[in-house]
Amino acid sequence: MPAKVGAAVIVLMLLFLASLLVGAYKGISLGDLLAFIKGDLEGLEEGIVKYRLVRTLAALIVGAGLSASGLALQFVLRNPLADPYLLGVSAGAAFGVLLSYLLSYAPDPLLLYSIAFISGLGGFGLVLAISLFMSLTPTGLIVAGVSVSYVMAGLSMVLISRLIERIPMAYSWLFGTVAYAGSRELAYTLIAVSMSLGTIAVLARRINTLMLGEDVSKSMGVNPGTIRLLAAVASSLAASSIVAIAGPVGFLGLAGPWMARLLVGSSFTRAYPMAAMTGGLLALASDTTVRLIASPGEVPLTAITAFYGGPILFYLTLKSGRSL
Amino acid sequence: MTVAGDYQDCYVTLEGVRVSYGSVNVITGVSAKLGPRGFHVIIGPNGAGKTTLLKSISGIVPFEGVIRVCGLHPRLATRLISYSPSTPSYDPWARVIDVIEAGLYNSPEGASLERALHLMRSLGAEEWLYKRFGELSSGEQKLVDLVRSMARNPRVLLLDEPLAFLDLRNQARILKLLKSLSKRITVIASMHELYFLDYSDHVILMGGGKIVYSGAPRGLLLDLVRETYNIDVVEAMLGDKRVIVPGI
Repeated sequence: MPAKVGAAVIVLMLLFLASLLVGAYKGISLGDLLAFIKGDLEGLEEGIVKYRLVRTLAALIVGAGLSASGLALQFVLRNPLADPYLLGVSAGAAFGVLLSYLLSYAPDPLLLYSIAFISGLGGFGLVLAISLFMSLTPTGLIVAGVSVSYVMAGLSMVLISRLIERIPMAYSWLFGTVAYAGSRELAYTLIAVSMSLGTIAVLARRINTLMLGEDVSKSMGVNPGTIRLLAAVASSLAASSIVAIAGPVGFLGLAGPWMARLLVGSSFTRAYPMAAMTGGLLALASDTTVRLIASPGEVPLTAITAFYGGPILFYLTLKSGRSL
Repeated sequence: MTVAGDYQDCYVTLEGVRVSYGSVNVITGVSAKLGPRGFHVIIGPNGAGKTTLLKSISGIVPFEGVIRVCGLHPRLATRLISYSPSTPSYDPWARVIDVIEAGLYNSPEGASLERALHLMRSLGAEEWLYKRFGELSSGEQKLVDLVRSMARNPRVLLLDEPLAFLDLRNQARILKLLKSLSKRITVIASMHELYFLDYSDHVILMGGGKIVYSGAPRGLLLDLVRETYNIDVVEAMLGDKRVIVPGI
């Protein structure tokens, strides 16, 4: 296992570097990066390196946060298909972000993040309520999640039609992108994601017992209800704050955890840090690909993540049983 | 000082225990003192309250009355006990080795993955370790769960139908393991296999949420079994063991 962790760290570092070097502006070299670190870079190059650094860090946080919180949701819901994007959290939070822009020309970040969190939690709560009310299977829960997400996305598009002159990139943002990430949002998202992932890390050994079922988990002194609630709220906070910086990015919360589970097995305590890495790795690779194929333009991140996320979702759905 | 050292002579005591699910009274006043050590078998027809009794001792379901496990309330004794459900409902995607490892949470000293791996090897089940739990048959899943529950090195082992789904060879292996464990710790198991009663040290017969017999296996009268199960049963001696089977 240490070899796999080491390999993941090396790939992550290489992708981080590639993400800084690749883009529409071709004039950035390794030497420029070193000069930037020393503080010797000036002018256009300095601006571009700064922009790419923020964008790269944003991709890293987006991937790590979505993947780690996706894994937590898979464990607490005991659903191999769980992903904040497929459970209404991301679509709910996106609606909240757009709503706060409609309410205020330049919304206070704390207000914006709070509204995103509340509406993300609201979307998720609605999906869970439908699932409980209709006693849905794991696959049924995801269908409910996707349905609620579509409704929320429709509402978001209505809001965008009112905002499009002020925020021309809103449609692109609705499909997930780190192209418009700013350093201030990066700081807010980093704080929220750290708080969420830290909370889940503290609960990790207890979350791991949930794979044994409610009764056995209780017999070991764990309160499954409380652990589920705390982990679900923490995951929603991470995913919502990620939406605030990058919009709803699809499938990283599904593909990242499964890549980690394939690498280190199904123990939550081992897969959790690995999921943060594989998520970061997939996000960096996806965002770098976006810049390679669309240069000098942009395509949303979900256009890339859907390429691998879609087949993974299909495979897992087939393996989980076809009955809804 | 180890937990195991602290609780060598561990009793499970029940005084006037009652459990209800909504308006349904499942356990209607049970008092007993089990241990220290020994193989205690709870028998009784379906719905007699065997599983609920095991769950209340394990701290899983709330109860009225008094239960003490090693002198502690069940919710405070979770580190000293190990509970195995009749049908393990584990994540089918989890690997066997990860399931066993997850079961070591909050366990006393002496519990280890090595202990579990040794048990798996002794049951000839080591090749399942990297399989997904959902890929195993019901009997294999049951064996994995028994290994998981024993690997915790508990002072009180609570097993709901430990022989369910197992073939005869594995039933014999598990009985032998439990018998040997019961020299060190208190083993309490619910069972439907009345032909194995003579392997236990103590039998509790439950009917309608109450204990109708508690004592040595040989002291259990056939008429009481007939009345409680509401079926004719016959007994026979096989070697030095008494077996009870339905008289069909």
